[in-house]
Amino acid sequence: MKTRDKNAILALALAVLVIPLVVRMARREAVAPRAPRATNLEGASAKRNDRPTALRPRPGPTVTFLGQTVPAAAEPYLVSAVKCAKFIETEAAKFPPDSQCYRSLKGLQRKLFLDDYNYACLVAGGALDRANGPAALEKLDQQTVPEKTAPLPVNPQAANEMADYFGRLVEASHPALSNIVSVLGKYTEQDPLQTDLFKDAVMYAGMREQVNQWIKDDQGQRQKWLGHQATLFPDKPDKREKMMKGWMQIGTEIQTDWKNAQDAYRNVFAYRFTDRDGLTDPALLTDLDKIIVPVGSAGPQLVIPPLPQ
Amino acid sequence: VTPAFCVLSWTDCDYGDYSNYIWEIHKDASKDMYTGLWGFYTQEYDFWTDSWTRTTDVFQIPGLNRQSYHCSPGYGYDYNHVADFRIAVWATGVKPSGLFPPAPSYPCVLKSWATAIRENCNPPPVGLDCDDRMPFNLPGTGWATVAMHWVNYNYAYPMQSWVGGLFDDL
Repeated sequence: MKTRDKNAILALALAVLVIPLVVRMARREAVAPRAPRATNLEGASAKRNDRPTALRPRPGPTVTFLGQTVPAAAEPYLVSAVKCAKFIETEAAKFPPDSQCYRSLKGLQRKLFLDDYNYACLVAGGALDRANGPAALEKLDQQTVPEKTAPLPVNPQAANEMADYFGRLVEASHPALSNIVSVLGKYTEQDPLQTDLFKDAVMYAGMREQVNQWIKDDQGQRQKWLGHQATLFPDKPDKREKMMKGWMQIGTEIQTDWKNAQDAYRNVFAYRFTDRDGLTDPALLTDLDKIIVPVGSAGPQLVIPPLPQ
Repeated sequence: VTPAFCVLSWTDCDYGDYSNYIWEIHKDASKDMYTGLWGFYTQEYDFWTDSWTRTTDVFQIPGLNRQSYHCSPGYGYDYNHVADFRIAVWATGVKPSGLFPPAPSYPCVLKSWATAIRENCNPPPVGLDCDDRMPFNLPGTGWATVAMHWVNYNYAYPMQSWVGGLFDDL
């Protein structure tokens, strides 16, 4: 074969390989032109905010709720958030404002309200900003809500995010979290990982165990210091007795405060399971009571995904 | 994996005897890891009425040290101070990636600058101002509690934490 023929065959082979590639690249450019590369911080930030289409704010009907303009689709979720926060308010009102139980309930109110607000943000698909949650909490007293509402429907968009995040949490965590999923499966046909039901159940079991641990630690510390007090006032046994008795009495008061908080948590989560998820069977809480979520196996990770940056 | 951390609990007790006048004050603060809220208790013994009072008032944590201070210079004077604290460390948003992602738990280090407490009646040798590094294993989810090594040292806060070896630096 002549050199000219060889070159022609080579050129033909190259053309066969290269032309489809060029055509494909040109088509891709036409369909989705590349975003310019971020060259400064502002650009980088803009790129980070370039969310997938599914999460972009979509225009739709809005309502005014908690002093904010919110998408109508998120309203039932926010109504439920306010109802739960108001229920916790009534539970907290049963205790003196300077008691630890009252403060614990106010902390739980804030945590659950912000979780619920973030959940509504997921449902709203980016049309509601998580940063407005604390301001909405301040408007709680001014907002009226209907007494009876239907359980919250599973939102397909939020469900994916929730199931992905909580699925990983269950996979990598203590078996107690898998046991909670199994227990929930007995009471609902929905996947508990697709809503905040799983998060609530872990919070309930985990907070109960956390209080149990505090009580246990306090009892241990009290016994330790009791040993020290037994060495005091060697010539005044009455005074020593009074001191030691008072020390144990004050421990009982503190532990009662914590147990009251535990009972109040139970009421709060029973309300949430009924109001948000339509789960009215009291056996659910009894079953969750049997699961021990060791201190440290969940906690700061129990948030509505994605994690705040 | 970038670990985050916070003070999980802090406890403090001052007690002693001054010419047969006995006093004892306990202060405890602990963080609820689910709500992020701090709980405070102060318990104080009253020598004259032989009774205890408790309050839930919020107080400032003056410093982070693991202390077992004992001072008894004589003349019927005896002063003791016991303090301890624990740190919670966790990782958020761990998403395994790659063909062979490292499995938890992750070897981590918590590091702080530590200064010897000199006022002690039995002071440690002077010049011991250095960093203390506490290695621990961080689970893939959940958190680990960490107590730094040394007693009678005041620890600086915030600390540093990283995943890696004991002698790595940030």
